[in-house]
Amino acid sequence: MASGQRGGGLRETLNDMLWLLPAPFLLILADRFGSLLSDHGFVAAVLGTAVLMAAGIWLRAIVRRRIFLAGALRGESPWYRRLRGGAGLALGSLLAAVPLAAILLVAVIRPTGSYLLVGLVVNVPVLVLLRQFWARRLEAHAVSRFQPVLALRLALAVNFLLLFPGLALAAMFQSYPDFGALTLTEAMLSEAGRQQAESGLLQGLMQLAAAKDALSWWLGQQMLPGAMQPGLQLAAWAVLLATNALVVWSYLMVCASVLTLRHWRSWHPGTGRS
Amino acid sequence: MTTQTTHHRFAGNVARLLVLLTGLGLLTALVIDQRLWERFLPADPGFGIVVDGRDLRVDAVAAEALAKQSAGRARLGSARADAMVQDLVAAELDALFDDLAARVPDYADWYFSLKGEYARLSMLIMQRTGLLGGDYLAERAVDLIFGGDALGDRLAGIEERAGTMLGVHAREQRAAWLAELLHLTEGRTLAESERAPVAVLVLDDLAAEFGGHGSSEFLVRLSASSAGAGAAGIAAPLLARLALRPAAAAAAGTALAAKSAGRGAARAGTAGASALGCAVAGPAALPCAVVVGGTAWVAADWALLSVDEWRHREALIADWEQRLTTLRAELEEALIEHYAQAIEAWRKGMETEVERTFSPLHAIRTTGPVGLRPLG
Repeated sequence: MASGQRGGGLRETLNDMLWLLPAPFLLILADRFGSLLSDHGFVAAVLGTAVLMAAGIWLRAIVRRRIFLAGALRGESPWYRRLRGGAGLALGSLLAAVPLAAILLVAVIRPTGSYLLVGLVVNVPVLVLLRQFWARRLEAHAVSRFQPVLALRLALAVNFLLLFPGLALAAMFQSYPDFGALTLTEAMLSEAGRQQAESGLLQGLMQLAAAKDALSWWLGQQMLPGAMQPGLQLAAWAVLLATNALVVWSYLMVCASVLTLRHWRSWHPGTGRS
Repeated sequence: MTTQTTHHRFAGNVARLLVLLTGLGLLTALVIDQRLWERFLPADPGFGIVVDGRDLRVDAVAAEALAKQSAGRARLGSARADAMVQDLVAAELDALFDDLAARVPDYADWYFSLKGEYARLSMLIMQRTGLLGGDYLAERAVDLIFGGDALGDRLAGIEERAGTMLGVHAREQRAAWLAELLHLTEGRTLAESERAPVAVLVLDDLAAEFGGHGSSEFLVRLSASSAGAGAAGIAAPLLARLALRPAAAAAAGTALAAKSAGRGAARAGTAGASALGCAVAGPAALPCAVVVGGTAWVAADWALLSVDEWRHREALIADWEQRLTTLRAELEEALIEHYAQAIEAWRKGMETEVERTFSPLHAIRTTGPVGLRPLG
């Protein structure tokens, strides 16, 4: 099938993009109606997103694991069967996916500028085109059964390097509250106090995220020479950038999982014994 | 056959491309243009917000967040004003009372001088004979330590600076609240709906209250206190009570009279003994006795005063420093209480205005619109 061909064709590219469209659409719905979710609704949304992400992470991990095993162990070894990636790997993937899903949902549900969601929508064709680009570039270099997953990894890395600075640049042109006359505690409490959601759990997470944002905005507005220890400033900015990076990475994980699930049959490395 | 298949594939690709572009465009439009939501979903007319010449339309969640944020800003602003005025009063009183404490040695110099001694003695005699009223020693202490009316001027200066600071704070409070409001509504502003809003919330009165010009008349209270009911008015009774407070080394009245009487006996003895030496001067004995006796009187008085100063000067200074410490504490407490009352009235005014302005949310909540949560 076309999906199995190296590089894929135009139809395959378009199909991938169409399959990815629901991801930003669902996040737009979350932005619009997420604050109306109950506790159960929010937990279900997080778990649903996490399961989707975990499935993709797990399947890609299996590919890497089996390729490693094929090179490292004999096929008849009982450890080959034990280590090939089962429930343990799936559970690990799920544990990694749950916080990423929560971070992503909280970020889109919080009232932010539209630049974030526009960035997520525009990123759909970018990711697919990057994956196609790397698939073609790797045709002559990568082992065929590892080539699709490797192409996706490279595409994700390059996409992250494009999307993260892009969103950071767009964020610079947004308007922010004036914390010039407030102490850091007042600024954080003020920003946290604005967060509204039906779900207490969601509201608590939104308040944490808001307090983190207030910290960075306050530092930005109060950044006077000698006003604060440089190390503390650096740490605060590092926290801000790290959490923003997690939002971008979480979204890319969702997209990657959609692509992985869609192409799983053709990407599956098989048993690796042959 | 191959050509037909190619045509089919091309048509399929074109169809997919069109669907994709439409989807991407639609999603982008959904993010950017809020009117699309009103087309696809039952329109939420939202709440109208009128403030500072702006006419906004926000959804119920944003309106509720606005109410909560306004109440929080009222608490935050008044707490900040309290802290600021406490800091300012403490710093100003520190500077003022450092100056006053530096003048206490001058008062002690006067108190233990011959000039001071005879002035006190003269005034005591005049008070006893009914020629003069009031408490000369207390008045002199107020003059020398507190600079007379200068204390009132210094306190008026403190009050003016506190009033200016709180006025600026109120303006900043209003500006910050407005900026927060615009920030809060930025991501949630609804497109102008053809339907009338559920309610229109006019926030101009609340803005005025945040700026100190509302019904609590915060700024008017501050300026009215400058006109006479403020710091100087608070200080006057404290000062009067302070000057009348008994003290070991600065006692007036009977204590002074007793001390002076004791000194008088010593002076008379010394002067008499010295004058006796003039008997040998013959015809010049009388002028000699006057000059020698007078000189001996003053010299004896100076010596006694020096002994008195040596024994009591430190106690006098310590006593006045203690009095100043007490006065400072009472004055600080009274001033802070004075401003705390004005700030408390301002806070209540803001909270009442928040409650009144956003009361339509409470009324409508009973009908159960989507997304409303209890205040607080």
